[in-house]
Amino acid sequence: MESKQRKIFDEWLAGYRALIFKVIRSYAFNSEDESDLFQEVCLQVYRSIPNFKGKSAVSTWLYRIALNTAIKWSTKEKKHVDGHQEIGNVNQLLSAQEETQDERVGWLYLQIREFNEIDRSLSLLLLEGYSYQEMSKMMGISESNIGVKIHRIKKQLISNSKNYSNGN
Amino acid sequence: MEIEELQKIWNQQKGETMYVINRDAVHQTITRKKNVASRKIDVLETCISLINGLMAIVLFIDGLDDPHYWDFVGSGMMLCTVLYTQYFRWKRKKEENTFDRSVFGELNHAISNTNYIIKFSFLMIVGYLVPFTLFYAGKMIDRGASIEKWLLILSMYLLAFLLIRWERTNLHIPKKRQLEKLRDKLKEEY
Repeated sequence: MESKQRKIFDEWLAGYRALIFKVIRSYAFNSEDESDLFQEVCLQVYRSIPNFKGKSAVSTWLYRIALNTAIKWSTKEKKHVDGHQEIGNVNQLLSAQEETQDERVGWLYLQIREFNEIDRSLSLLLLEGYSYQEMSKMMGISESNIGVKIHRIKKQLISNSKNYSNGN
Repeated sequence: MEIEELQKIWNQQKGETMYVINRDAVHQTITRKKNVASRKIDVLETCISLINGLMAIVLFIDGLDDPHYWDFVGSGMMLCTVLYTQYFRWKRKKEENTFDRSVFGELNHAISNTNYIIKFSFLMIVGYLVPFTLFYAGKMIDRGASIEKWLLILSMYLLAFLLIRWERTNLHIPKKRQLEKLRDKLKEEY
């Protein structure tokens, strides 16, 4: 059972690492935090395997777990600022790599990080192209509330992108 | 830029080489954290089961040496608490990996689980430790128990009480408060 769980975990990690990396990059701001959040997400993903019944796509399942974990972690993470938790002893599970890509992607991450915890998740799901219904199921928020939030997020992103295009 | 264009930019991103994963470290961390997470509660449940199990045996033997109906009843009751603790443990383990379908759902589930554990702790103190202590104190006075027996029985009750209270105060109540604070914070958004 344990080896089967580990096999599935390895397959998911190999096949969907981009998805997890996007969440990590949106919520963690330095290499220690990236490793810390990554280990939390991996642990929750691993634990969730017995509960995955295949009713949703693996990517949807993983997004939900990664985002839920990131939101909870992000709130806890603020304790670091007050020095309540040590961050120096976190294993380096991730090494950041230079990725040749459109610089606008980096700009998008900066915009996402400006949002609060929930809006960060919603903006990620919006950019991934999820429907309001799917977002509602993942976040546990009514579709009408999602609509209001997404409208505000879109407005802000579009407005900021105009400034970006104008070089401001 | 319109949102469709932003989505196109976002979708160019493969993210494959954003980070390199230290796979061995990931597996080591998962194993370690998985074990640490429930170790404290495991120890507590095991201690309670062992103490009560031992008490059940002591009372049973005592009942055999000097046949008395209430020794067997007491022994049976102790055994029931061991079974209940183990049932509770089995249920907790089963629910440990359950994930709800949303952030709020998961939070509510976590709060509900913590509440369940807090209630269990309260039940152990009010519904079991206090009546049993009074019952056996009365019985030992009535039967003139030796000082060693008094010390053994009372120290076991005291240890069980301190363990339950420690668990409640240091593990579950702070966890519940933390979860509720997080839920309230998220709710403020909506």
